[in-house]
Amino acid sequence: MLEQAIRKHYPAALASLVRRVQSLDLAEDCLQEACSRALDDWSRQGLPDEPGAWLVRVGHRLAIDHFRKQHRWDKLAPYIAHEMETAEQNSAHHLEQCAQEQVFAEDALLRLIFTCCHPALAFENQVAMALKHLMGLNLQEIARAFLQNPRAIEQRLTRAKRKISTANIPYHIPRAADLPERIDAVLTVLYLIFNEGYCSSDTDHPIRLDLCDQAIHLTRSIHRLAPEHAETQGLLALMLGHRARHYARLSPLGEWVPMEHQDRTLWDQQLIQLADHYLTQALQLGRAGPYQLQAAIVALHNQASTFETTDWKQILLLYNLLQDIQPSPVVRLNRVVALWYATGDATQAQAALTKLREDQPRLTQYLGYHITQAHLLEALNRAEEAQTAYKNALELSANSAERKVLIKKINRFSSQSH
Amino acid sequence: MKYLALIYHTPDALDGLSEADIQALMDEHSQLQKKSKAEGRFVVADRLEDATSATTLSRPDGKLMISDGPFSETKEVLVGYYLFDCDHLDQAIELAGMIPMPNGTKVEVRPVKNHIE
Repeated sequence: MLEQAIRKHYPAALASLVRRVQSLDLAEDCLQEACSRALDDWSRQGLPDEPGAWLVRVGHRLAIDHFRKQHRWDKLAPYIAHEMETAEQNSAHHLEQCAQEQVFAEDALLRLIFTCCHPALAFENQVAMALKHLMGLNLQEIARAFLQNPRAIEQRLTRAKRKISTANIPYHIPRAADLPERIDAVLTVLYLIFNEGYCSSDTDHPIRLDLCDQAIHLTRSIHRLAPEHAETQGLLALMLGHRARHYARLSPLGEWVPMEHQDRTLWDQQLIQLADHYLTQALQLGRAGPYQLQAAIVALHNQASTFETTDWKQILLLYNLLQDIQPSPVVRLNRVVALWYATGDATQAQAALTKLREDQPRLTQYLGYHITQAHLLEALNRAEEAQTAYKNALELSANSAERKVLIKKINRFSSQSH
Repeated sequence: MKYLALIYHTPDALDGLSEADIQALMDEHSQLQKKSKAEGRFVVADRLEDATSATTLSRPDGKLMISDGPFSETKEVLVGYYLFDCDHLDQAIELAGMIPMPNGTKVEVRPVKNHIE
């Protein structure tokens, strides 16, 4: 319980502290100490009204102590002034102060996002930094998501921090001219994290809702900073549209429920509406991009009251557009699926899939390919080949809920053949 | 804080450029120099002679070895550099990004090690 509260407030608290002390290392050390004090203090006295503010206050005090010990009077002067101001302030000022604090915290969080996702850092290092500092995950959790050992992750983080300090990567919100591209870099990281939360490689937790929600929260911050950035709203719509289906995605036995069989009354209509709202706004800006197109596809799924009444023709049209601007193997694979459902012609879809695999041999490393292949072969009554495809999929799957479904499928084939 | 922007391209990258193309490149360089000087961020910039004019020194066994040509065996060679004085990497990227980069030219931005005073 307490640990959850700490995790929830960790990223914003860290951002506020970095902004105050201008050093990621020091802010991290102080916040870690503040967190262990929080565990102790809160278990005795209960959760404070504003746990985030509590962490920042204690962390900040520790940083000031640090500067005192180091005799860094230059760094101390503004804090002493700030403390005196705080002591003098009366309650009339309090509300204004709170509003200012909120602006300050938001600004601090944005700075931290842009520092962690700076394109001068290797992409994998950006992701590691974001998972640690924006999501509040520990080394073990990051290692599990990356399927790497914690030592390797620690090295990534060390390398990233060293680069930030030696190359002097600024802790700021980029200037307007750089903003669109820098936001694109941030969105790539946030979407990757959302996906890791949505279908986690963590064997104990098939879904990490905390990652999904924090990714949404941070994307919203970017949206507030740049309301005219269409793809930010597109990504927001995409994440919310997926998030809306959360309660229908796992069976009571912890198995994935494919969209086809999901109980659609469990879908969150409020989130679906919110997603539609962002998507409509984004499309009005007239700069369609991959996130908006994917969000539109998700919206069409969410609108259908049954799987059978899904507007596959329009979905296929959107995949055609998406494939034009982002001809990645995964997009092309999804287009084949849309083609199948839009035409009802499994033979044609199988031919398209075979051609795609010949063009993109790397696709066989991708789990989704084998699942699509298995579904198609099943539809074509090629049971033996379908079973092999499911086995290939199982080999590539790290998600526990997915593995359960795949094992069941494979076993069903075996019992049929006997 | 100083940043060195090192400019690399293949030896034939500028072959076949018309005089007007070359003039356009020079104009871009002068714009960059004008801007960085106005901002007080320009330190020095030079274009290097052809890489075939390079002489490489080493001391494999303590004895000075002198050999002809550039040290690096990559296809790209160092053709010039800028030294900027900036507050942070984004400023350096902003200026170095103005360096014209025809035909696969690459610019590497490296912070200069701080002297400890």
